[in-house]
Amino acid sequence: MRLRPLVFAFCTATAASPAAWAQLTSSGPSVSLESMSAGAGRSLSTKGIASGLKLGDEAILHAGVFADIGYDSNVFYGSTSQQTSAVLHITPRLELTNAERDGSVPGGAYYDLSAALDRRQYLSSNDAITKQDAWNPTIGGTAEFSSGQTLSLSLTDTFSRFQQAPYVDSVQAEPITTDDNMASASLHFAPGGGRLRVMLRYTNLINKYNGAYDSGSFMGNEGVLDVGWRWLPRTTLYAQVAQGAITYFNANAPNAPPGSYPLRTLLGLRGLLTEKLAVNIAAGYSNAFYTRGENPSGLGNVGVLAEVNYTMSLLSRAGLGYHHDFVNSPFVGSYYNMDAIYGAFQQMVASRVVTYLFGRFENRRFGKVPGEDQSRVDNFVMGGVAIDYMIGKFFQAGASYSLNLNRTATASTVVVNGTPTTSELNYTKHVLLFRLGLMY
Amino acid sequence: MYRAFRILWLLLLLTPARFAQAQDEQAPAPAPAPTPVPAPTPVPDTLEQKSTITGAEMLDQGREYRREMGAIAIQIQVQADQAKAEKDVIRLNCLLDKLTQVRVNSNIMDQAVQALQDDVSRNDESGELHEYTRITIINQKAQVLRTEADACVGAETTYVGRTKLVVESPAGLDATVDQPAPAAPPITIIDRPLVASPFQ
Repeated sequence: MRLRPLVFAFCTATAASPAAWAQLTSSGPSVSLESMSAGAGRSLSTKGIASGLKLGDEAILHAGVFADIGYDSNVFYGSTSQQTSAVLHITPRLELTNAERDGSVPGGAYYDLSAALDRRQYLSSNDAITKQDAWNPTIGGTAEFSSGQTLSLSLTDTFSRFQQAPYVDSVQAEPITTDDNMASASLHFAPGGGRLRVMLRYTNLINKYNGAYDSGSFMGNEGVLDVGWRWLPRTTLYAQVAQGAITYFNANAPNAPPGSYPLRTLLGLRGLLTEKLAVNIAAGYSNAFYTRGENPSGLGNVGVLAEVNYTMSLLSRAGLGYHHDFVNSPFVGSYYNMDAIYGAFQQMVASRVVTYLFGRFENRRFGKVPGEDQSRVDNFVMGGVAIDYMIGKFFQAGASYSLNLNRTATASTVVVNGTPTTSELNYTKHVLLFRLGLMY
Repeated sequence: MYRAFRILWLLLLLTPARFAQAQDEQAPAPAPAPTPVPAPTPVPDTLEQKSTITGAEMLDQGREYRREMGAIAIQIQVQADQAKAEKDVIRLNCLLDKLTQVRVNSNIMDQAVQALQDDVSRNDESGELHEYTRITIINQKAQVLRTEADACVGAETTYVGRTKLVVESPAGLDATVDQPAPAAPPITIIDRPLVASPFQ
């Protein structure tokens, strides 16, 4: 008899939680494994939560506010003298959509508008640290027309402002602030019941640095043609060609980085191999076509993508990937060749607890800078773990830990005022946060 | 000796009769005599029915049935032409089958009407009745065929719209697993700019 309250409490706690399910599934279809491995799997999405304020026949308004408080072990990404501080994030969020409460998208016109504002407050008496307090807004929207039909169109736009601490622990040092806007329009054509799928997408990306880093501000335009033949019901052989154009806003300034016209081609297979195992394996030729200076060569002209996703059960999934490519680099060496190994794991326990583990390792081999004796090579690691517990329908409690680490393996030495110095970047940053959230 | 012979002869004569009597006593009682079957109802004399309709009336009625059969054949032919125009093969096949049966029965009715006419001319009352019965049966069959032709169903009952391919994914898997990833900012956009020199 004494166990009855415990049994009742356990049953109540383990009852199916739509919020937990939404938390697990909201990052599924719209987020790639590569983004998941960079921490995007724990988004503050309210999509799919079986609540929300009905504003009309179709529109539903979701609202949420999240508070994270914790510890930052290295505010300024320093290699030797590391400044630590407590930090508080307050993030209100609004989302307006005509998707159903279970997250299913209507067949005709679909839209999803969202806005969030991250207020970062360092709880410190150090002025250099409190100067890094920031407002980081994100506003975005997605619209789809004739979703799931033979011909469909989707439009997206996302603006975000992100302020980061500089590398210098000083009140005079300006934060690194970027304004990013990405807009894209995708046309999907799937004749013959979807046996053949053609996607044509145009993407415009504006990456605007403020202050001292403004020389790296650029605009990127990219057109992607993806043709897929559905070989099996959920397995597609595909060919993809992407042609981009990167233009720096300050291209006429001395020592401005060169623009480029990156071309990427891929031929591969994506989809299910078994009911639980999905792959995305592709390889192709790629080149950056910089207007001046060095270009990727040799293996740098080969793009490789290999991803394996395994759905162990309805409540757990894992993914592991490898990516070989070149990446535009506004500040060092015009570009770098990248070999990345990444992975992510999500598990829901008792329908209320969502665990999320992610990690990414990159080896970056930068293009050679004229006048320097050797190319720079960095090893970059990011990873973390998060656990969220859904309390009832509307509340969330969670904790997260993230690691950011960079080690420069080789870097050229420059003599400045008779002193040899290098541009090595070695830092380790731990962030531990505890979260309380309210969603409706 | 003679006397003994007489006694033996009597025994031989009586013993079988006794055994037969005993077996009769052990045997089940004989089934009751069957209930006398009532005498079959005398078939009404068809000649009595003849008195309600004359041979000439039979002939008129038969010709009327023949006209109705022609109308039925035309009606089914129209329906078949309509099905043909709509390229509804299922309904067309059904209607053509009914039409063929109606035409065959029309020919039989033509013969029956002709025979009836001959019987009327000869004043053969039994022949008249026989042919008239045939005509009536053929008419009933034509009515049934008309009803069946009206009930012929076509593709509209099985056609539920344009073919749409719906592929289900195993539970828990992303339905867009074999589609290109949506547009997303590159990983580098959330990355920090690297230090190009110690003074930057």
